[in-house]
Amino acid sequence: MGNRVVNFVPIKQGLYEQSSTKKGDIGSVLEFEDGRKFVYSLNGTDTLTPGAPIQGPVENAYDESIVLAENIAVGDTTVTFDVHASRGANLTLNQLRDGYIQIEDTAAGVIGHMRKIKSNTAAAVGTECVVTVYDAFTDTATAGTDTLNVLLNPYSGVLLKNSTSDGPWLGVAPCDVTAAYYFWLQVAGPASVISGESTMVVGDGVSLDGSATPVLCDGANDEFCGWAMQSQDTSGNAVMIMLCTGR
Amino acid sequence: MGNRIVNYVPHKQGIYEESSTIKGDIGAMVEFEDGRKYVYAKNGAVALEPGLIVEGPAENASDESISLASDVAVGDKTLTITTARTYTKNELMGGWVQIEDVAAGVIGHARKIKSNPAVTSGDSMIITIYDAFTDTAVAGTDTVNVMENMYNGVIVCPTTHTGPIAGVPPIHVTISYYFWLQVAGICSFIAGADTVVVGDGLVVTGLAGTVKQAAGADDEFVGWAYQSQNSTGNALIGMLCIGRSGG
Repeated sequence: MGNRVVNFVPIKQGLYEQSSTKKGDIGSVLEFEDGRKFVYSLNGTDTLTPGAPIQGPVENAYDESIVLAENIAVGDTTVTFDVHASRGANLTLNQLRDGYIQIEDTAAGVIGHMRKIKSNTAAAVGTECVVTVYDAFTDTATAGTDTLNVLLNPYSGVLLKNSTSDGPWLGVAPCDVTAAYYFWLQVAGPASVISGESTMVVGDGVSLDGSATPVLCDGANDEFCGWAMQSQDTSGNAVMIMLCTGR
Repeated sequence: MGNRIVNYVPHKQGIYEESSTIKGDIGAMVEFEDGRKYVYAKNGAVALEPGLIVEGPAENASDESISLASDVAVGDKTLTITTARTYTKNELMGGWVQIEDVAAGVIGHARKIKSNPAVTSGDSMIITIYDAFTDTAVAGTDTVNVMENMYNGVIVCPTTHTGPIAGVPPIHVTISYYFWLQVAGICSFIAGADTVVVGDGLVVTGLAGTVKQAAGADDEFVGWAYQSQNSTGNALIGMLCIGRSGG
């Protein structure tokens, strides 16, 4: 079978290379014929090491339950809301690009609609932001009543997974990555991970619940991340797993 | 990265549109570069809401342990069963047939179904499959299970599941209409009574179409939370994982 790329993305950066400059779109996918998949990502402020589980940026509570500033009509491709005064950081131009927006309200017939974000205006905290989405809304939403959740592109500003999850589970770093560098994050296929588990046995389900490193699934709020392809031996903590992140 | 389709199926129907007429094969798939995947599906007898998980048609006990009416030989592309219910013409098209017997070397073979005639209960029915059998089966001894196309007649997941988990509708869907059902990627979910925290494994155990934190007892896993559920609404964005991930 070899090591051929099946879904080729023309980003001039090798799988095990990092770059201080952006070589392509964050979120682009590179897939190998053996099932390994990598997503082009921007590291945040941590230094990443190979085998380290990686999460997206820490959730910001003020990106959720945002009050709509203007009504949404069927066919609209823009959404207007006020950036929460307590958000802590302004929204820069197109910071939300390739993220997602979700309508959230308890009213039947409104909740649950989600669209991918094409662009956004720059907006300081407490001021109005206009988001443009790729696909028009097929339902209405009401200013002052209905609310929104926004999710930034999770692959922009990743970090080492915290013991208590505070961002989306994304994948595993295949190489050392300097803070703020661009790299290929592994999201599927056979992967090297550093385990925090002393008794992992080949075939075990693997979880990240309450840990920065993979542990055995124990049935209590398991944050499933794959299956062990080897037993962990006593001379080290590295183990190969079949990585599962939904990609 | 944008919003480009990578695996395109030429159905003339947008992913946020429904249709009263079929525009292509049920089960066909469209995939976006960010990992979202949608399967062309037909709604069943209840209107669907965006974000509420749906399942395939309710299991029918008469589709299981069906008697073989004729022997199956190696190379056969048909098999004949004695039905325990009525089937319409091609009701099983796009579904599956599985050989079921305790004899080693017979049990476990499965093939995709190409066609079936209309019959009533107790009739002999010839099922035509796409790929020839590679093993024999014996009439009057071995039995078969059949499963119709799970995307043909989906329903909102009831509290106690009656069919296979199929995906999440991205829009409102009218009874008996055709639509694109999301089966992988970043997705809109509606949470149930339990609190969900970013990073949690998500399950639909014991809930009607909504998700909750993985609990460990008979979990029906469907993905991971990318946002925490907040106090003013029940919608959250997450990663959908129901076996349709991958390239």
